[in-house]
Amino acid sequence: MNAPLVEIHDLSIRFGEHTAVSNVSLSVRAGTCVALVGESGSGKSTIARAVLGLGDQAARTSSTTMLIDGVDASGWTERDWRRVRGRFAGLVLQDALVSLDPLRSVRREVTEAVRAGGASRKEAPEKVLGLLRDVGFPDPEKRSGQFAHQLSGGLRQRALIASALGGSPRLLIADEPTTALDVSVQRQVLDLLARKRDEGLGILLVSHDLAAVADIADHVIVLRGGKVIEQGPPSALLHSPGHPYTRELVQAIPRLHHRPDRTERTAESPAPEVVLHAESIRVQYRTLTALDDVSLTLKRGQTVGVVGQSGSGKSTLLRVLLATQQPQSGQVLLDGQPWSDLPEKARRQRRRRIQVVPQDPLSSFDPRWTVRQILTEALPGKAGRAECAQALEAVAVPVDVLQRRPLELSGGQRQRVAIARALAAEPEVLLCDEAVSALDVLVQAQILALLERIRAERGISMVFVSHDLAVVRQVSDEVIVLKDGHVVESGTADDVYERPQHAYTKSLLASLPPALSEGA
Amino acid sequence: MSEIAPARQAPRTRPSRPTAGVLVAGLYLLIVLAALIHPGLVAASGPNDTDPISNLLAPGADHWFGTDELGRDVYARVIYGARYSVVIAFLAVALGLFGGVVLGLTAALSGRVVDEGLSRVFDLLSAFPSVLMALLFSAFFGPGTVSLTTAIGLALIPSLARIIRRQAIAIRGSDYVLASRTLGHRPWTIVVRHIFPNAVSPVLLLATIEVGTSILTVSGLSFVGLGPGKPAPEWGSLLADGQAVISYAWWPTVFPGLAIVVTIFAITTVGRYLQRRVQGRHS
Amino acid sequence: MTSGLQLLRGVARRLAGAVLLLWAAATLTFVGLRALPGSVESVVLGVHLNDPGLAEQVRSSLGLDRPFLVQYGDYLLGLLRGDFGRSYVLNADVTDVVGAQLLPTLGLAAASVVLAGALAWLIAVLSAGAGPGTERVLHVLELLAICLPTFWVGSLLQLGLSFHLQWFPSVGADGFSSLVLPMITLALPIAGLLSQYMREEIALTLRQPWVLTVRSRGASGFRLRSVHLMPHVAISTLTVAGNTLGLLIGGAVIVESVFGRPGLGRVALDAVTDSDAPVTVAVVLIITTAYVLITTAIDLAALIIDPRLRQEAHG
Repeated sequence: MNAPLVEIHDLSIRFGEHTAVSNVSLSVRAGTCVALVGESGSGKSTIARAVLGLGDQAARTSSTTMLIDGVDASGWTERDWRRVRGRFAGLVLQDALVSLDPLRSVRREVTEAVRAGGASRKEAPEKVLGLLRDVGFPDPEKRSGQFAHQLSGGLRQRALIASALGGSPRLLIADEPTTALDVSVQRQVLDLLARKRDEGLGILLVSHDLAAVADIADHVIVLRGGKVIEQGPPSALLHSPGHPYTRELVQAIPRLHHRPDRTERTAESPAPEVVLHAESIRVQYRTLTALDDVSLTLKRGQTVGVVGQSGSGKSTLLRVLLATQQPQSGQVLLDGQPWSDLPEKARRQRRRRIQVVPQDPLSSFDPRWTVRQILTEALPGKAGRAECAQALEAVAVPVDVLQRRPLELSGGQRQRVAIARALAAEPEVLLCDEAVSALDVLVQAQILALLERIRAERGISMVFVSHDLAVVRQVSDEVIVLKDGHVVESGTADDVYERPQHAYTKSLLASLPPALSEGA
Repeated sequence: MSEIAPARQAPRTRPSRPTAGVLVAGLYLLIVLAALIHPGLVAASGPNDTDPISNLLAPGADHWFGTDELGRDVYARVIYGARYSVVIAFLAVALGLFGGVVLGLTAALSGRVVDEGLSRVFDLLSAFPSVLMALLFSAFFGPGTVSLTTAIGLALIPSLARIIRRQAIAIRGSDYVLASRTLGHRPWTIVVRHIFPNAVSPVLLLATIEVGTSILTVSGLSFVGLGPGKPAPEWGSLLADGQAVISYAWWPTVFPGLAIVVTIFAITTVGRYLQRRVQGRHS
Repeated sequence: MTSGLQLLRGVARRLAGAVLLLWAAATLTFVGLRALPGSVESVVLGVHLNDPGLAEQVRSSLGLDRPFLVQYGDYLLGLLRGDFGRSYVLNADVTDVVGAQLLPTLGLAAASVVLAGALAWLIAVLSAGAGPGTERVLHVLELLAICLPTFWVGSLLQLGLSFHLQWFPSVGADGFSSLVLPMITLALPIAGLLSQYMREEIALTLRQPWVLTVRSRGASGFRLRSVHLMPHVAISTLTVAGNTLGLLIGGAVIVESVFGRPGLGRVALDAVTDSDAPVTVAVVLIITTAYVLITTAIDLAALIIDPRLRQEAHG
């Protein structure tokens, strides 16, 4: 077996009193992919940066062994590190929109990397084109003059990878390289990385997403709080996790063909009444058709999932349902009465019947307000402390949070408070707008369970909008698949997921990591 | 290790404690406040008490800052001068803030046509920096306190109004205004409850710092004769008087100048500290 | 749409905006001149203002009895030809009075801007990455430079370097040596403001993810700063530099007064004292025009450096 590209033993990184990473060991060999997986704050990115000597200046790094390309790197200066950056190891960050210099074109960025890797001025242009072609950047002769902000998410991520490969490195460090991308594009980028690995590149992959990583990694290291919890081949971790934390993580992954226990809905009236009905909605922005002939029917106590990638029109649909945006044609009925076709004044007193659970709860709170003020605004009449406390209790948040501001809460608590505010209005319908997309997987599972409990206990109906097919599968009775403003497929969740009819739905499902299709 | 500045740690969320410098600056501002409210408390003699026998005395126990060519106590004149310099600057900023808030909010909340029109007005106003505005007002209405205050206030409007407009537009589209709308609150309630306080509060602190800058403008303009006029002991006029005798007496120039510098420095220091605190709490 | 066409549209939009702005400024000052007290005939008539026959005569000889719009049209046409009307106090064409003073002011302003820019750039680049101690000292120094009243610094420099050391002349405007003190006086606050802003901007930019990408390619700190950082800092600094123009203009008026230099500021102040509104207005209009032209040029420069602005300008 060949010598490892990187071999680290007992790496610890401290910021002052705070220990970000403690006693982590890892090694990456050529042609293999090692993945660091953990929730936010697990220290995974800090480790990845340390491998390139790109740590924070305030960080104190120590290790018993630190071999980079077989050479002891423990006493390296910035100058020494610079020699390996680019040529020995390249770095790919999350979103190329901010990870490529926004004032320089793709060509100039990749050229810089190629030149730093030792290519002469003469041979650089050809090499740049070759690299861009290799990563699947279309028509590089013409389009490489474009800037990151002019490219789609997938294309600029490919450009970023090309620039990381510019110095012909033997190791690629990829920090959440697919997180900002749509599923199908995510698949393509992962495939690209897998191909480079098969060509002999060593890859150190950093991700929060165990299921996505399992697909291409040969070895997975699960981190929590800067410590290694468990490691091994991905299939072993997924199927027989040894550590309770790993087990929890694996169970929290939303699956495609397995639904958590839910209260049987058929127990209610056989034909529940329709609460919200959208009929042939059409929304046009100048030349762009955002929604075309989109219909949706929501029955009491049920959840309709709306699946769509970026640009599919799902946010527009949400605004139309909420009646903050007027459709050009079609209308929305609430309880069988006009809703979208009303003057705002007439709608105002009924507004409380539809509430929103936002993607980013923090920005949905007035930054000057405490949790108590937030809830008081939402509760009917003159609500006192007791009512506020009761509202928090319903979403399992401790009462002492009342006096705090949202900034001082954890991500999960913020989302619970946002749900509490929505419930305080005693709505019939909850519109969940990517409500769990920004959360770590464990918290995500808790919030999904909370929403499910609310639906069952209060008979609230939900429209659950998300780009995440697996999450939608978990919560929905009926599913609508949106693409470019059109409904490409709709039906019961079981039908859409088990027996997809439309090619687009099939391709979406096929691009999901296989791990999601397995039972837990 | 690294050759360039490292990525700094995320901004602290805890409000930072005031440093010794901030405390001293705050204490000094309290003294200035006392001088504004009751100058007699801080200065023994009046600003215009002339004493021809003891003119141009060097600083000493009787006259801390010395006396000027008419024998007036420079210390007393500096203390009483605060009533002009600081108050004019304060009024100008108040005018600018009022205009900025009203016009900025109007632009943000009244639809496209009004917004476009007001934005052009802001462009026009900002083409006349405060000194030019003061020159114009002095030419049209004659120099004096009213022209000066109005001109500086007007010149402050566009920058403040633009900030408020930008803030208000961002807040109007924010998720918390949406949340408030879905709760069935009226537009006016939402403006009062969310948009107004969140758009204006950062500008309030900026305005505090503008008081400092405006003191500079006020005293500069009255130095060149566009201020309240003699014998008002405005700090800039004191300096102009001092410059006439600068070749043989340094104190009538040095002390009023120090008063200006220290006051502005203190206001800026405290203002920036408060700004940091508020930012730490909000973002 | 191609990037070039977007750029052209952005340029056209900004130029049109500048023209509109200048027209509005000219109109505003015209209304001020004609409609407000301290107007032309009161100056010419002086104590005879209450003699109706004489007033009528003066009004007609000055063309003030013509319709308002005709006068306005004449005024605008005059401005386009560089004719600012007549000063009845000095009994001379405003253009001649003001024209002679243009160069000294321009020279002083340009010299100060160059000095301030060079100073700020030097401080910002040299101190990037220095420890927190240096940072704090610089911060206080910059703040001090901003807080210093120019007229006071001018006086102190005169006191020290002219009267005591006799290195430089204290007043006048002959030769470079008389320019040194006014130039330093005017440059100090601008340098403080620019340097403070640039250092903040550099620190902020260094925190961007793409900086990590550039460093991960093995680029040297020098390359990062000179090739990547410079355009970013330049764009934002240019924008701020536009705002410091107000500081420069105000400072120039006062500095000219302190050092007894000839120049636009001096003329304008004398005109205010003499109630010679046409001269004041001419000076204000000239400076405003320069101000608008420079800020427009800065806008255009930013548009050329930053491809993202082109798209926003269009959409």
